[in-house]
Amino acid sequence: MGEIRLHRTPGRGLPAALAALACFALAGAPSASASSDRGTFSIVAHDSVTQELGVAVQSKYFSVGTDVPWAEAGVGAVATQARVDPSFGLKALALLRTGLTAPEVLRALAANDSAWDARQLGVADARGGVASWTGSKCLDWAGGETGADFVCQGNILAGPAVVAGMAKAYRETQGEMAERLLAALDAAQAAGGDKRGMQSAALLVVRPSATRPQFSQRYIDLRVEDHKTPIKELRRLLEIQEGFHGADNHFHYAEQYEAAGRADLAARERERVAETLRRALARRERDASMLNGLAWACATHDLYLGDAVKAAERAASLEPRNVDILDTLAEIYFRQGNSNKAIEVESRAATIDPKSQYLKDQIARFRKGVKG
Amino acid sequence: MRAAAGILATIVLLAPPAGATFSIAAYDSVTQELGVAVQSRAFSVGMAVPWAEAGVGAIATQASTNETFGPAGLGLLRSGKPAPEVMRALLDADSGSAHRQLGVVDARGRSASFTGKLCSEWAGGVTGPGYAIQGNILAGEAVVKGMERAFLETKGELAERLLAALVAGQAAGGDKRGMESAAIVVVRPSDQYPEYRARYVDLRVEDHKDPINELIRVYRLLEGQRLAEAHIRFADYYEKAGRKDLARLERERVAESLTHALASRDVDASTLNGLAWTCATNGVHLEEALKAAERATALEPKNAEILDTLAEVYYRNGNAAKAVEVETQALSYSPNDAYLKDQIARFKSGSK
Repeated sequence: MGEIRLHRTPGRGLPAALAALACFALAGAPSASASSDRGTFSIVAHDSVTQELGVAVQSKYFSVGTDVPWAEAGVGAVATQARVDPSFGLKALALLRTGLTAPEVLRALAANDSAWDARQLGVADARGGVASWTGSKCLDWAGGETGADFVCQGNILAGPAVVAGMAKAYRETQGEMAERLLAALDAAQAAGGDKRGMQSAALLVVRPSATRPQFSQRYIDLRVEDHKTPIKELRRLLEIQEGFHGADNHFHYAEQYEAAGRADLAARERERVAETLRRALARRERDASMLNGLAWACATHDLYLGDAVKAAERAASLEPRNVDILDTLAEIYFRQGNSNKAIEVESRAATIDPKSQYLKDQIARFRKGVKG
Repeated sequence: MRAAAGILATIVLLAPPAGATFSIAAYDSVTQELGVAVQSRAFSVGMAVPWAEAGVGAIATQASTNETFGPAGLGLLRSGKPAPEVMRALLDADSGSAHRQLGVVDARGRSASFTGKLCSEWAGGVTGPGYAIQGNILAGEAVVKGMERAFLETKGELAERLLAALVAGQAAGGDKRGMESAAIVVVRPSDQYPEYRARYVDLRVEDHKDPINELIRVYRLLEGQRLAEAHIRFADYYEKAGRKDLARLERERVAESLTHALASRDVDASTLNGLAWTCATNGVHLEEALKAAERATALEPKNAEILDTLAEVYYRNGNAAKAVEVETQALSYSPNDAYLKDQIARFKSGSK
């Protein structure tokens, strides 16, 4: 059923690969559990523009995010599933670090594995190479599809439409990688998904940054460990994440790109924030902290203030006594040139939290007209 | 809005920090486990605060969180620097250190905790050999003191002791702003299972009304579905290494999980099933395993997987007739399952 799809085979060979594996004990212990074959579908992708690498996965078993997805910026991304050997994650990343391509990594892992025909893996390397493997003993329906810069695969699925749907959704969805990965999971579920049902899901995206090294391991890293509708829950979390961290992250990359003379990419990063704002307002977002994070990021970067004020007003209507939110709203009014309204709102905040020196300083600042 | 992670670096405007978090970073000198448990009013605290690597160290970075402290701190620890030096090095290089809070424990149990003087009240920490506990925007010092007492007094594996510390922190008033997310990470050296070096226990509650209880709920699932097997793996490893005492300790952990599960009123069938299956297939704690399998069956009487576990336990307890009976029942719910047919044949032939 399965095959390794080879894209290209440049010079680096297996000796380096085996050296990379030398730090691991190669003999995998057979799992005792009768239920060790786990129905799962996943997508692994690389974005050549943003250099993001990511994995999204759903499964009918507990905490799929502990075992299946592995990624490191500048190195690669891996999904290890079916008869899961979680050590393949770190082993594959170690091999990728030596310069092996995704197909070469699969060959190196296969050469040292006694249960390879029960495994399923997807690998993306940091140069755009991808490879997917479905062993012939993976339980029906099992298979994968290889795209130009992504692979998707699954086992114990309703049928081939699940994987085909994922691939189509990833290709056709616009926007950033996390959105496209989640669209792929949605499409898989809509096509019948995992025959056994749903329990957990995870989304992991990594991205290089000179000044935020943590993004190499966790740019977006969200888990749903045990839930009746894990993909839906994962989407809810991603929407909060977009406001809470995402907007700030995009402005961070916009600044990096500006500094590197890539105004086009900087504009694209800022556009991501505008998209998030439009989507949040359109769906009448109900998470006040999400709206507040988004509005605050826009305010402090003097961008999209027209939509940001709507987001902040909505957040304030959801939580009218939340001082953080009132402060955000005041800050936006001030940046829009409406000092009176800014002072009025911040004074309301100060009556709720009379001890706050910060709020007093803000009111004084609004009176003076200092931008911060 | 409180400044979210990273904003501080790029803007002049300094808003109060978003933190409102309490955490514990700790080390177990017997098992070599390193771990962090954390609770916060902020979304997805597990993405920002806890960082750990087996044989290296564990870090909690919070308050006006400088997330670069995670990977940078682990890098310094990897070079062999003790925890207090690593902490100083990180803070010395950071212009915003007065807003930071940081706990560091290294792989020899040395610990350090720092609370910047501009962290919002109440903020502070406490350290001892093998642990660093800290929190900000707390109800008071009783929170970290309560966490410390719970960590020191709780028996069992590191994850249990970390979770007990979170529960005690919350019971002492916890985070003044309330709760939103929680996380636990434990890492552990293993040559044969290198994934444990990065994720031995790695559970998240990203956005929940009662995150600590939800974290404990999913941890109980993990006990049955991963940890029991992990303990047996370590027991086998210690046996081979001639450390019978440590092997016994690992098997004892499984017995503790069984005791927990059987004593719990709202235990999940999958936890009971996982524990019973692991015990059955490894020939340990068979009496308790039978109770667990029977209870799982009572919860989900038509689940073929659970019936298979119950049959296996009967069989290992020497009751082949009952094993065949239960497995035949399982087959009636899943008639095309070749595995179940093989099991029945195996029970009849008496092979292990």
